[in-house]
Amino acid sequence: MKARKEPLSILIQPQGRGRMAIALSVLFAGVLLLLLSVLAWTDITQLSHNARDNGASSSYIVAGKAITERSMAADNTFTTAELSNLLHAPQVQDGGAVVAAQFPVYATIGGNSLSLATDLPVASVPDRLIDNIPDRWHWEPGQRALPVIMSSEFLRIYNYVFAPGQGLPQLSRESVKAIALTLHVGGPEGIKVTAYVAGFTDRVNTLLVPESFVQWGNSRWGSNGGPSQVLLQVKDPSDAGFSDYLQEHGYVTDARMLQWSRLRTIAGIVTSVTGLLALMLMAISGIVFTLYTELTVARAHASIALLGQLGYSNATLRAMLLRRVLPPVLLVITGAALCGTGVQMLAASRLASDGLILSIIPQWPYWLVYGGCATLLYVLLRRSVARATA
Amino acid sequence: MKLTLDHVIPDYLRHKVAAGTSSIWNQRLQAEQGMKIFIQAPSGAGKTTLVHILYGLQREYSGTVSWDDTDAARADNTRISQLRVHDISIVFQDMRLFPQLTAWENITVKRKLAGNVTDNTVTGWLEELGIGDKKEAMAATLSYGEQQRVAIIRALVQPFNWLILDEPFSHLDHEHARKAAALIDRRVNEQKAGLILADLNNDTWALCNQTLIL
Repeated sequence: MKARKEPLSILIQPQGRGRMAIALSVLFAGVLLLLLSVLAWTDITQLSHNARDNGASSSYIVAGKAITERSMAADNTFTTAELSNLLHAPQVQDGGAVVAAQFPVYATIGGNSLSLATDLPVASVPDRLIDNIPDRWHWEPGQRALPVIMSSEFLRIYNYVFAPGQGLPQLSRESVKAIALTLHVGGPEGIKVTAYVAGFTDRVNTLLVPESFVQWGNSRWGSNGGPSQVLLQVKDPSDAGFSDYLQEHGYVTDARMLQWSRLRTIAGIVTSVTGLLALMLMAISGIVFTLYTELTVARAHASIALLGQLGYSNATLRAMLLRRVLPPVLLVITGAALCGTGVQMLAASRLASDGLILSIIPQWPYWLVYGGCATLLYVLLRRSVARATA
Repeated sequence: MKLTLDHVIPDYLRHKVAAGTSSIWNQRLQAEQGMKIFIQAPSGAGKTTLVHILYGLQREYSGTVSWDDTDAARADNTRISQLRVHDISIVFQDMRLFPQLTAWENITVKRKLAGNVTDNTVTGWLEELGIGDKKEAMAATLSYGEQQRVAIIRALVQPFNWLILDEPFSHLDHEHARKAAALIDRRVNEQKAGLILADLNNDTWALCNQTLIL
C-alpha cells in the first residue's frame, strides 16, 4: 500500500506540474548560460594574466611609435610631454626611456674556436626597470671594463639560427659570461672598451649598458635626440583601456600581449550577449514561478484559511509554502552550477595539455553569480508567496 | 487568563440589541479562567457570531473583547495565532475538517502545531467516542456525527486556558453526546481551563456552572 504524504503536503500541493517542469528547464538553461558566460570571462582573464611574466603581478613591455610610410621621415622619438603622458596611461605603473646609443658600437671577439665581428645595438634603461641588476653594474669615463646585459632573445637567435649556419659552437649562459668582447665605440676616432656579459634580460631586445655609458657617448658623439622607445611596467597589458591608448596615440608594442586584449574584447561581447539571453530566460522562468506559486496558493486557499483559523500564523504558512516551491528551484540552479563546474574541470584538463593553466574550480565571480541567482529567486518567490497569502 | 467583554455589539445586530434584553451584548462582563459558562440562545441571536468574536475571527463589532491584555479585534496575526496555539481552543459549529485528510490526519494537523498528548491518548479518545475504526477514513466520507467527534478531539489535543464550543453535540445522539461531554469535562479540568459552551438548548448545560442568555 502506498504511504500517504505528510498531511500539510496534502493540503498545499503544488499545482501545474507540467508548467513547473518547463519553467525549471528554462531556469536551468538560463542559469547555466549565465554561469558559463561568467566562466568564459574569468577564464579568458586568467589566461591573459598567466600569459605575462609567468603570472607576475605586472609585465614589462617596450613601446615605440609606429613606423609607417608617412612617418618614416619624421622624428619618431618621444618628447618629454609624450613620455610623461604615457606614464599616466591606463594600467601603466612605471616606465622609463630606452635611450639608444647614438654612436656606432662594433664588437669583435677573438679566439681559436670563436671569432666574429659585428655591429651591436646598445641602449640603456633606468636601473629600477632592470629585472636583475648584476654586481658591479657601473661605468665611468676612463673605465676599461664595461658590464652589459644581453637580451635572452639574442642568445636564442645565436644558438638556434646563427651558430648552426656559421658552424660555430652553441653557448650556454655561463659560457657567454666568460667571453670578453672588445667594443670599438664612437667610430674611427673612438675608444675601445672590454665588455663582459653580466646578465640576461627578457624585457628588451637589445644590449643594455649602464646609463652613464650611453649618456657619456651620446654627449660626445650623439645628436641628443629623445628616446625612440619606452620600457613600461604595465599591470595588465591585455586591458582594453591600455591597448586603446596605444592605438589612439599610434604606439606599437609586443603584439602577443595585445592579442589577449583582442580576445578579451571578443569574449566580453560574447559573454554580454549570452549573459543578456540568460537573464531573459531567467526572467521568463521567474514569471512562470510567480504564476505557479499564486496558482498553488489559490487552489489551496480554503485549506490555508482553515489552517490560519486553527492557529497557523501567516509567517508559518508562508514558510510552509516556500518549503514547497523553493527546493526544486534551488536544486535546479545548484545543478546548473555543478554542470558549469564540470565544464570548467574539463576545460582546465584539456588546456593543461596545451600548457595553458586554468583553475580547476571556477573562480569567485562564478560563485558570486550563483549566490546572486539563488538570492534573487528566493526573494522573488518569497514576495510571490507573501503577496498570494496577504 | 481573564476574558473581558465590554459593551460588545456586532454591527449587523445593532438594531436588535438596542431593543432587546441580552445579558451579553452591550454589557460589561468578566470571566475568570476555570469558569464554565453556558451561552443559551435561540437561532439567529448571534451565538456563532459571539463565538467567532471571542476567537478573533470576526472583527465587525463595537466595544472590546480582551483576553487578559490582548484585544481580540486589534491583535495582529502573530498574537492571535499564539492565542489559538497556547490559550484558546475551539469546536466550530460546522466542524471545519479538511475533507481531503483522514480523521487521524485532521487531528495531526493540530498536533503538529500545538499537540501536548500522545498517539495512544488520541487513539484512546477515538475509541472512547466510538470512532476508533474511523481513524483512517477520509473526513469527507464521515457522517456529521463522526465529523463532530473528530472536531471535538482535534480541539482537545492542544493546551488551552479556555475551550469554546459552538453547538458541539448538535449531530450526536444522547449517548455519544454524554460521552463527548464527559471527555471534554475531564480535559478542561485537567488543564484547569475555562469553558464557553454555546448551544440552542440546555441539554448539555450540566457541563457548566453559569448560564448567560444571549
